[in-house]
Amino acid sequence: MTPRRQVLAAASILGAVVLAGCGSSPSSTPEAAAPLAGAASAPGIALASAPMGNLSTPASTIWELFARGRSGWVLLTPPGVATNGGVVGAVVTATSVSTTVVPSANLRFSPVADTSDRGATWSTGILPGGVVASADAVAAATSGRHVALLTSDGGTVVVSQGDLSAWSTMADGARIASATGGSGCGLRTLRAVALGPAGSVLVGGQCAHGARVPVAVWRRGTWHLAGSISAGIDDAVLRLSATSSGIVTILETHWRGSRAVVVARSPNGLGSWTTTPHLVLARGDTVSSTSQGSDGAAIVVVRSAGDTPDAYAIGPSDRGWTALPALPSDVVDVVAAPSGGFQALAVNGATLVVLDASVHGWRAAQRLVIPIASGSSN
Amino acid sequence: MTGMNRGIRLNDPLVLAAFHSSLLTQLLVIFAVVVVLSLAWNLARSVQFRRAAASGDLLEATDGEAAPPEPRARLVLRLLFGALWTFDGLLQLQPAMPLGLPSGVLSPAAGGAPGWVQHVVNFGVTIWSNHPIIAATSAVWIQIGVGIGLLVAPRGWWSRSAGLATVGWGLVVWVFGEAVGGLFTPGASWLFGLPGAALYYVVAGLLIALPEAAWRSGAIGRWMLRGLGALFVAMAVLQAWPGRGTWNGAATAHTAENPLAAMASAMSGAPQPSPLAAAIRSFAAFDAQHGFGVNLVIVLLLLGVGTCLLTGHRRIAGVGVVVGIVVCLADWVLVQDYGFFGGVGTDPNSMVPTAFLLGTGYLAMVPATAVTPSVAADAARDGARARSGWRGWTPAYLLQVAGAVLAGAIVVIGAAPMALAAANPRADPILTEAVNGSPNHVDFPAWSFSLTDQHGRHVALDELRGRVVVLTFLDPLCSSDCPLIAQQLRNADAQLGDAASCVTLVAIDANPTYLARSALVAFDRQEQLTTLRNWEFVTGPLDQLNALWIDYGVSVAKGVDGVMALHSDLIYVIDRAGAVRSVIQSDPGNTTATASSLSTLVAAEVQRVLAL
Repeated sequence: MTPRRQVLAAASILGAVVLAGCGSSPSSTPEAAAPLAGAASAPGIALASAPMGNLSTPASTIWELFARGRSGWVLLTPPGVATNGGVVGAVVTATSVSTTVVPSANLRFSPVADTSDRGATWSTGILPGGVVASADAVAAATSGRHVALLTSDGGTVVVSQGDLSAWSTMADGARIASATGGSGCGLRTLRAVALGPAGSVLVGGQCAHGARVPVAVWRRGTWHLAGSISAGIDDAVLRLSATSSGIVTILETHWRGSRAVVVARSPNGLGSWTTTPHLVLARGDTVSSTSQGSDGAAIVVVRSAGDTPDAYAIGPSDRGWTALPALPSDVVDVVAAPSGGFQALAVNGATLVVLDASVHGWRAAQRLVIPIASGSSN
Repeated sequence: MTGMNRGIRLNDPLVLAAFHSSLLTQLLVIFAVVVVLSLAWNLARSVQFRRAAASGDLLEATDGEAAPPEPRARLVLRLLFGALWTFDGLLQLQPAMPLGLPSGVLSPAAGGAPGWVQHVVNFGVTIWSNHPIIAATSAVWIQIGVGIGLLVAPRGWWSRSAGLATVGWGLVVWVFGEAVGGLFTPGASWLFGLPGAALYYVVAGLLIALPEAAWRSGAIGRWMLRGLGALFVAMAVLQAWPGRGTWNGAATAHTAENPLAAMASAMSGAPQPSPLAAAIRSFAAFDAQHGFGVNLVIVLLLLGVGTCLLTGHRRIAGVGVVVGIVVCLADWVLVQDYGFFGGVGTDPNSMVPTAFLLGTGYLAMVPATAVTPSVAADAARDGARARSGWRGWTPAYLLQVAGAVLAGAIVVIGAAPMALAAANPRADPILTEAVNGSPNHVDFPAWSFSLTDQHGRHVALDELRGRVVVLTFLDPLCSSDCPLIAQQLRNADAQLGDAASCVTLVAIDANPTYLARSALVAFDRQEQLTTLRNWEFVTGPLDQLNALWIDYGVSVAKGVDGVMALHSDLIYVIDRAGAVRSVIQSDPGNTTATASSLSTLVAAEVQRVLAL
């Protein structure tokens, strides 16, 4: 071998080694998602979902649904299906609730289960796919009409007129994006559905372009953007509800260079919206749970890595956000109390502790031990 | 119960017994080959003797022609790698090999590698996982066969074939067992095995496969050492490359732990004699404290050895060889922890073959001038053999040929079943038997039922007389076992081929909350069972289902609190006359292979019942 060839051979090996040692993996920015943990309250009832069990592994994380009645909080998780992916509840009346489950592991469609006797009996049905992992993935009205948001085709809205096994597709994500594109939004990343008082269907997500309240309503055979105003930049729906007092959505947005949370309200979803002051989030903060009241009140739980959570509330007529007393680290949800105060739900393994807010901070008011099976169902 | 997803212990007694049984069977076949070869050898010797005696040249025939000696470097290389392959083959006899190799060796080797490498390795993992007994026994015999081939065949075609066999099997091990030697794995280092132990075997095999004439000048030795020199220099650069943590000491808030210390520390945890573990732990602690200094010494040593080897001058290269072998042995003991502990160690790792190549490379630098004249004699001798056929072979050569034939037979005994297994995508039934136990062969009347299927049609067991019924219980909302079991029933149906036309697969709803037909339809759609013509998923009133669950011994518990409904995993095979003939526990286990194995077992049981 000539010296030149020796140098070339050595350089080839060196090159191969350097290439082998310098591999890198591409990075990507994850899309912000609406928190699955959440609560909703209405006169005479409140619902809250929380992950329990061993949260370090998905197979041992079991989501539970709780309902508050006159005698306190009770477990209202629908039976017969694993809830490792999440459980979602929607208030129908003070005594009836509609639930669905985010599919997990080898299950890829969602069941629907309704109860009007606090879980003693359930009427069940099957959705034609899996629901999105969002606290407002399903909504129901007293008429029996249900609406659900599925993950398929960029977000498919399906409705049922009462028979929980008979669902029809209203639109998929592409159709909604197309219908709302001309309005300067192009609604995408669908996260929430709601049923208006007159049975109208609303869907919330994020605008692909422009700056509008990212909520669309089904009216006269097509989808219309519900709001012409913007709360900031890249508004994204965290929660969406429609009650007799109007439409309320909790939005995450960019405002004056920071991420913020704001509540937008509309009496009818026809373009007339008002927004609350912005709750500016510190860098690294994430919204871990949200709560909506039927009166338009909103509560958000904000968490940053390693810190205890903070909760902020704003009432329907408040001019600003109120910081709630410092929360214990294991609080998952905060919900409006019947008395007008607040209740926090803290989770430690299989134990749920209900905390009442008092002038001295948070006081344990109720304790529920859930018989979570060891090793879960997966 | 559904959701248990039981795994198999690495030393599962059923699998171990099958492994030993298979080894014994193949050993008997090898023994038979030895007997045949012995007879052939005796016969050949007798014929040789008679002909020589008849022609009066008895003395000449038995003495044969004087053969030139095999080049010393080639002899050493052949014997060392022959011994190494044989040792590796014996390591494959460890009881944890059939079940432990994929999860303990193959998959971890590809961890962190690019997707295409993992994809390639996964191909091998799947074959081994599906056919653990065949794969493990094959690895034993192929490696022992190649080792014996190298040890017993010193000259000519047989010997060079053993070299080529080393190349072939070495490449298989390098690609599938070592994830192409870790070349594409971040954090790989010469100290940990880069560029892969099997690659040294491949190089050795290529050298042995060269014509003997190539060994008679010193050029091959210079090439070997220069190649190794370039490798050492390249590895020194890689070891010195910044940002890989090699210059770090102990882990701090800002820096990761030195990978060498981490590796040594991890290796010390492998089951092994405590003095060995203590030595490695001490080195790991020392390296954690003096990471920069240790790495500097390593880089300088690699660079120095590489430079010496690259010179091609015998004396300078000799220094490099000696230092290189010392470095290899130190790394083998203190970092690679000998490579073969832990129950699934497959070889002594890369340092031993590196040292072997260094040593033989140095030996090969000496020109075999003294034997050069015998090349002509060698050729003349070969020519004479060719003219006279096997009758001209000396007894020693005849024995070597017999040994080489035996080695080849051993390789074939190992490789043939593995080749057949690789073409079979379905896992062997022993896996599911290890999880669930063997099927229970019974004979009692099946409990009849009359329910509604997913299409709303009435289905009664009595109306299925004349067909073999595979009956199971599935939860349509199940998120663990039931979808897997359904898939395996579908696979079993496909394995039955035309016989499937005589079989009906029936699943009875086992979720007391979801009894509506819509749940069954959703399950069928999810599992793509809608096109399976003989598939019936049936449901009915809860009291009827309750009675059936009890009759068939299926324990069903209503799922509450976020846990799905729980039920026993059972499959009944019912014959044409309505009698249960086989009861199969059907936990699909926790791997793809155990699930696939279930379908093979079900198909076999259905075939058995069809034949009754």
